[in-house]
Amino acid sequence: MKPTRIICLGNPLMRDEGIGIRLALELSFHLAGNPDVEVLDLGTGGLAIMHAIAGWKKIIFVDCAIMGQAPGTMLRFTPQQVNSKKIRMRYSLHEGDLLNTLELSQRLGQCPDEVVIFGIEPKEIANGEGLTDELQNNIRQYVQTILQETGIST
Amino acid sequence: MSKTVNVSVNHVTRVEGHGNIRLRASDGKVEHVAWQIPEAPRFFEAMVRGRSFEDIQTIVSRICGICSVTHSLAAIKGIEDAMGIEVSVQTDKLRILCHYGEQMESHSLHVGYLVAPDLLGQKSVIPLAESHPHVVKTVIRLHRLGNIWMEIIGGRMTHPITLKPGGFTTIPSEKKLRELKKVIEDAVPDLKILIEVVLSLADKLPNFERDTEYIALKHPDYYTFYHGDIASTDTDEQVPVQEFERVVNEYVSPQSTAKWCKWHRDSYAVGSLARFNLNAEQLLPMAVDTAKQFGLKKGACNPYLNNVAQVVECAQVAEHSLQLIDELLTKGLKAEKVKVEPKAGEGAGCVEAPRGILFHRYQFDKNGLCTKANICIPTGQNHANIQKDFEAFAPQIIDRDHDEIRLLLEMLVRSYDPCISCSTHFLNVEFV
Repeated sequence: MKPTRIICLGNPLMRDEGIGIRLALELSFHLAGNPDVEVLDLGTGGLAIMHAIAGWKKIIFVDCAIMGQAPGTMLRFTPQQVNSKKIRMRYSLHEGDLLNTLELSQRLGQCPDEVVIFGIEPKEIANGEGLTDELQNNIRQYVQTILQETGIST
Repeated sequence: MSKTVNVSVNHVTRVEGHGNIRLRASDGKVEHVAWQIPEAPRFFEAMVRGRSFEDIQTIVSRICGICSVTHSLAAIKGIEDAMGIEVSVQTDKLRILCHYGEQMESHSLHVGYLVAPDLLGQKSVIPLAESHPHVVKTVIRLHRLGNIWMEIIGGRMTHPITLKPGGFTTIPSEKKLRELKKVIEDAVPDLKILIEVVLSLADKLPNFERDTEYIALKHPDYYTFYHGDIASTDTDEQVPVQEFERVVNEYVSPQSTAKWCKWHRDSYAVGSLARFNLNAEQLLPMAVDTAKQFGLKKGACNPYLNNVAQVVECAQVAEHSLQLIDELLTKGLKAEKVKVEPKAGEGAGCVEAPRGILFHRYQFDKNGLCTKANICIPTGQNHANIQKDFEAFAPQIIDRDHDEIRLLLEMLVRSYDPCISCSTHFLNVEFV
């Protein structure tokens, strides 16, 4: 198993919500054949995150994140540095929340020691394909920053 | 002394698709009770228009991370119906096998993560992980099984990439299928633990019955999630999938911004209990035994028993999957060339999602470009029935305290396993 896995989340049918999936594609070009880093498009798989992180040394998440920043801003943080503001009704399995899933993994002793999240502030989360310009124009910079986190220079 | 009860459960987010519960009562009389939900998004239909028949599966698989195989298969069946494409027996069996993985994953998670905390008096699965770790760990192992299952047949954990009109882009090796058989066999003890846990708590499921019309696929030869015609517990008439609009009869209710569905009555229910009520006599032995342990019988009309039917279906899909794998291995897997020539046409596809019957309809031009689409999801079909359940159940529980009323109504919604916020996954955080 490679030591580092980049897990990209999101839905490309919801405009900027799909930034993670777009970056999964970009990163996969850079990381093809890399012996140390793997990239995974997990879409909106929700609790599949628990299994996707188990056994890895380092996990890097890439996801759309409402953080109160200017659209297009990418911030690096760890789960310990943030609180989730999501309101969950527990009506269905469809209410995904990365931080909640990570907390459950931690309580069960299945969470890797090193977890880093790259959150990208959306401009628009709405029905439709394609990113807004605020995010689209920063793709190259996002990729470089994420690759730097893995120790790979572009 | 007069007593006023107001229950108001709000779910406000930036994305539409969440449900609110409203109840107002005074002097023991329910004045207003409502299940409020906006119309399910129809944008997928616009999104696939103008796209090639070869791309539809990839797009609709993103509608939902929990039901991605189901949406993919409903679309593929609709495309194949429109273009007159026949598939091999091998393709048919591999698809059903893939679909069973999703049923196992969804049902075990729903029962373990969402229903078990209610029955064990916990607010969510997180405290449950400390109070009842064996329950949570069992469910996680079953979920892991579902993930492995998806990877082997669908090509990855979520949003399958191997399914396509006419067949598969790649099929699993026989070695991989044998591996899958082993992990399913190894999971049977976990399945039995899940059954025992739910069995030990089944008396905590509210005792509420309401005579209901149930609708599901029906096939003469087996308990179906994939083939067959549309059947109802109200009639012997079965309707071909191609005529599904005759069943769903979407209409606008003044009570709701979401369209409601009705066939023979004001509402109907879809899901595990509907399938059980229509097809129970076709269950395999482990599922029959499970249903017997719970005392679940055809004709059950307590909506909370949908969760018990989900457990029964976990046993069913495990057992049938082992049979299917044996049949595939005995015959030997063969790589099949799939070449589909597009042609103009219209077709419908139907598959049972874990949470109920799902319909897709597509129209294509001669180049295979989509000119029209319609998707009717199971949760949309259940909305009117949830409302009717609320109206019948609320007067029965109105004397209880506020928190208990609220919990019972929330549990009722949960029992339907609704898909009401499936299309997004974004984080919403504040820095500490």
